[in-house]
Amino acid sequence: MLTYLVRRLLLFIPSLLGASLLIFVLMRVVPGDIAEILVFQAGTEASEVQQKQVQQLRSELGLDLPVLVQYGEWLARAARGDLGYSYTQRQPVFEILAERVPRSMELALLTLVLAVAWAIPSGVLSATHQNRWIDLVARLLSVCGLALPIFLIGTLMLFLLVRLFGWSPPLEFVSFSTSPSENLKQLIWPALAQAFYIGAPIARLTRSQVVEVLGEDYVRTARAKGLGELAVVYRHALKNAVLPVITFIGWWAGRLLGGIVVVETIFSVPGMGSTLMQAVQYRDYPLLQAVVTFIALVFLTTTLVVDLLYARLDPRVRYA
Amino acid sequence: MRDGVLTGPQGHTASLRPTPTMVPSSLGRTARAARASLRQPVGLLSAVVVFVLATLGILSAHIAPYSPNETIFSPYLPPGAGVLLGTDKLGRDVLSRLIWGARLTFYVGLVSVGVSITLGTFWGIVTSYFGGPVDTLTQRCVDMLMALPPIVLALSVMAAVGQSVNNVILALGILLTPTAIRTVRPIVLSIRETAYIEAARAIGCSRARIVLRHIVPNCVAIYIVLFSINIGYAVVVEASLSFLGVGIPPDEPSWGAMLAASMVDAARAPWLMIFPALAIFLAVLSLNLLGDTIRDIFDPRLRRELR
Repeated sequence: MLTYLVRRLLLFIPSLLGASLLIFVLMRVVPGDIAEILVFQAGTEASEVQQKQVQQLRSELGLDLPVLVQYGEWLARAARGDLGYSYTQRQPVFEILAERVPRSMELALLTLVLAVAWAIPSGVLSATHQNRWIDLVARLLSVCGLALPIFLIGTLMLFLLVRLFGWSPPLEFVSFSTSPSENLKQLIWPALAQAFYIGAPIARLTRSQVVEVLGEDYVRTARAKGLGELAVVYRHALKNAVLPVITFIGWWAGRLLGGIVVVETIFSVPGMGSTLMQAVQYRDYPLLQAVVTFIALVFLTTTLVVDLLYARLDPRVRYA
Repeated sequence: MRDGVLTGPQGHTASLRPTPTMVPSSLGRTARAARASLRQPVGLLSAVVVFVLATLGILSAHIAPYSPNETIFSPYLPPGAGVLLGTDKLGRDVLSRLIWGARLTFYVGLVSVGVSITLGTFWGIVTSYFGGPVDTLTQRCVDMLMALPPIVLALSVMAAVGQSVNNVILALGILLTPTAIRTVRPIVLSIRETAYIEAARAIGCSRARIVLRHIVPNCVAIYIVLFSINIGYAVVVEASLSFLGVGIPPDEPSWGAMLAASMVDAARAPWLMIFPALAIFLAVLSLNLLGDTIRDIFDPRLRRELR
């Protein structure tokens, strides 16, 4: 276990550094650096004066140094909490992240709770009522969830909300500490849309797991000794079936983070995902670099925690 | 932990092992696949839908009633005679745009998956078999690329290279190649240890011969599976990027971009939203179901989970 832990941690750090380096280099190999974008923003012809400005900006921002040196400097500053300055938002990147990350985390948490709340019961129900109408409905729902990309679910949901309920995306974000009910009212729809999306594969896996476990000898034994159906399903079947489901939920961390980018954009939630979109659209490199590195950190940490949790929860799992 | 696990884009997680019972002649396999497909009504139906959509795409120049980018009618005409699916805010025919969109969708999906899965599988086979520094380097690069959620990686690539059809294909290639490398690796590693490879080495086969004649044929099944389950995924990623406004350039008729544009006018022109949404839903659903079916036919042991 300890060797496994050490090996996983040894993989974690290079992966994170690698991902941040990858983004860093990607942003610098393409023609048109930040200095040019900043100076030529108006889209005017390149004049003598502007060329000089570009040169000056380049040396100010350190863009004339080799890429690896630049990366080293960025890393050293990032380690001290200085993530640079956003060109478009005109404030330090750290402040933007500090404001927006908690919102996305709240949305992600809400999504996970809702996803589990619909997916696991529906998986269990359709397993215990195999091929009855409730199973068919649950399976149809999960097939739809698998075939509908998140942006499609989000768009349709927004459309229905606007048309049927006269709902409109909030103009200003209300934090949970200011008004919990207002805050939940804003986040519940994007969370629902995403919960449907990530819940579909969870429901499918839960169903197949429970179906498998229900055929086991110990379930027959439990029934034979006269336990009620509820006790059989929840105490004996579900507890044994749920382990792969937990890992699976963890594996979907990437799907969750990708989905957050999309739903935040659709429902105009000012979180990490919509920040990433703004950074991409305006090529705000310092912001993009920081957000992507942060997302990689969350993604890798989740995967790591899930793997360790799996080893901890299932005594049969042994890592050499 | 990821080794030995195929994490398909739509949630197929299953362990992979090489297929020991490869059919000797390729004819037998085709016949078997054809017979099996008849026993899979869902797969057959989805194959028909995919075929129809692909045909619409290939023949779009002949089938589409109008040009996708020309203003032909007045804006916001509801569906009716002459304009079957209505017109958009520039007076362009929605049906024609959808048909040309099918062409774009399948072009991007097939080219990106074809190139990246072929490249990834072959690269994965060769580096995993020979090992050494190139193999280590490859694996570290794959780690690096897999440290980012797919859509975030694709967004970053698009931010760097800018919007264009070929750049979307490039971004998809960067997403899909590592998946293929990671998936074939455990298979190649276990084939490398089998008795028949040892026998081939013992009778003096060259290394190239071992790879091409003994390892590559054993990876054909997984190649086909990877290919088929990733097309639906590529279509989703392309549509998502276009929807977010960083994928296909706005003048090209992309389903994702059409849907994004429709959000503004959804109240006055719901057809602008419904038809592209339906097209995406149909394409993704049928490609996914077809992918599942093909996976089941070529590697029945993958069927274990998620049924």
